[in-house]
Amino acid sequence: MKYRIWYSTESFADFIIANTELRHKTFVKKKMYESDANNARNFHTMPDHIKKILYLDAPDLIVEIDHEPIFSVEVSTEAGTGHNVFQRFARLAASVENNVPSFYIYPEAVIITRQNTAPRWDRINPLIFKALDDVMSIYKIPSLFYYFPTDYQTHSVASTSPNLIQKGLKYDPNRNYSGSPLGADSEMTSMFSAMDEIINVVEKHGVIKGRDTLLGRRPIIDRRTLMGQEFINKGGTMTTSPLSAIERVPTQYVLNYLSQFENNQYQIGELLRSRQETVIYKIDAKFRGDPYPGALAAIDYLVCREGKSFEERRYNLIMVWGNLTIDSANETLIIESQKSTINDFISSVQASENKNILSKNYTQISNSEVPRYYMQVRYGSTYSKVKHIRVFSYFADAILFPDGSLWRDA
Amino acid sequence: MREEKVTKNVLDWLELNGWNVICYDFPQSGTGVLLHPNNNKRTEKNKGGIIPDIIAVKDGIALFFENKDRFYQPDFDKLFEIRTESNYSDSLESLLVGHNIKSIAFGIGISDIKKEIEKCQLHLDKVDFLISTNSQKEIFIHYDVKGMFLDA
Repeated sequence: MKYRIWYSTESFADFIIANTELRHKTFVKKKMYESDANNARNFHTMPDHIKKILYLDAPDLIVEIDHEPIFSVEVSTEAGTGHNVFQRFARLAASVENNVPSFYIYPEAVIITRQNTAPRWDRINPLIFKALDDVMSIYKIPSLFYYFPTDYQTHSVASTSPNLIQKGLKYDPNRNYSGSPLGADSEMTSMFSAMDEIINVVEKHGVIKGRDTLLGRRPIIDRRTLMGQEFINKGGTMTTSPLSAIERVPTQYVLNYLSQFENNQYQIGELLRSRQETVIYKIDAKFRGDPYPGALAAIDYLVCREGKSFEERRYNLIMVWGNLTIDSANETLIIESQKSTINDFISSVQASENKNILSKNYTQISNSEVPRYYMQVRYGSTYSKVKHIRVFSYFADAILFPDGSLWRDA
Repeated sequence: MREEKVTKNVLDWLELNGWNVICYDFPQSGTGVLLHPNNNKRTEKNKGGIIPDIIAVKDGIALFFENKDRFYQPDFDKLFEIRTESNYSDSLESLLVGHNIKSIAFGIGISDIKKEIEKCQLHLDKVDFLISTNSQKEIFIHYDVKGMFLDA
């Protein structure tokens, strides 16, 4: 069996290989190019099944066996307060939406040092554990969380952390694995065991059949239990960020709002109408990407989803960019904003479209551009739009701005 | 030879010669420490911050490295500015607290390519040292105005 390890950072790939059964396997390492938007020269060279994972966002590592992905890994060293812990969530979604188990490595807390104040630990938002558990319930595949090693448990006073200049994070001392978490830490050894379990299971039973049995494997059951305990022990609730920014309204309110776009020739289609209630993610900020794409994906799994496809939702999921007032008397929405406009979205799409080469004549396309041209013929601008536009338009059934709206009919 | 390899070679050599590595960084390593400009030059969070490629200490001396695979004048200019204007002194002092540092030397590590080194040598007045390294991990000291590497 031949393994391919797709990486964003080679030292992290080496770290995973050296600490798992992969070190005994026949493998090749390959650089992963994230999208046509940020790497027009190389993205088209990625295999189709990897492109599909990369459609939403790129994990740090994808391991595949005989051209079938078996797990992905995402690692972060950021402080996971509020929305931030969900910033990379679209990368996990990218994996699980393609039935690929995922691993998420994130610090329990990170030391933040600001001007004129003592260093302090910024702790993780425990809602991440619930979101991952819901992903596992929906997809029936592992989506596991492991703590990036830190001094948090042993040095609760941040200023005493021996790794203060590294924000309390414990990195692996081997420079060949620069930037990787401390491999000897119990969280990491536990993660390596789970990765080995996946490798052994798919080698024994095949990828498809093996994947279906993974949630019943002891190391994975135990980890899932621990994640559930962490949600409770850390005081997780269903009202913390980003769920503190949602409203649930009767879908009729949304339809009434969108009725301004209807006329004799056009009526809003069946998708929105098919669900009685709608979850609105309110963002009264300047239109932009992070952390909102990941938070939107998390809201979907935490509140709306009942099945593997976005069509299988209990509630519609829509975004509102602006200050939202729910007008119960008139059963509609009022959206006001000086910060965002539909033109922000449209101009982002237009900027991405400028990267496409489909309007060129054959004589204008160099030989090296031909495969990219041919990819775009097949997929259009699927991979050339910027990430937040891809993620918003994948997860949101509608996006409302004060001066314009976008919605799905089906 | 890539910048990553230059930095790794220099790190190994420094440690072999008794230097204590405080922090290091190379593209995608994620290990760097951000230094902020002094308060009076700081306008907003992280603006103007720099990440040294290596900071190492020994016997009251600190080394501040910028490394590259080739000659890169902006690195020389940046080091000259930090050296002469002390505009990152607060952050550096905070990073080096407890090491009893009496002086900081600023210099360049580069791939051992003759024409690139020759270009570097036209800008030596801006730095305290220039060293190069090759794929055999050999280190060559081209300039050491403070004599810090005499025992190497």
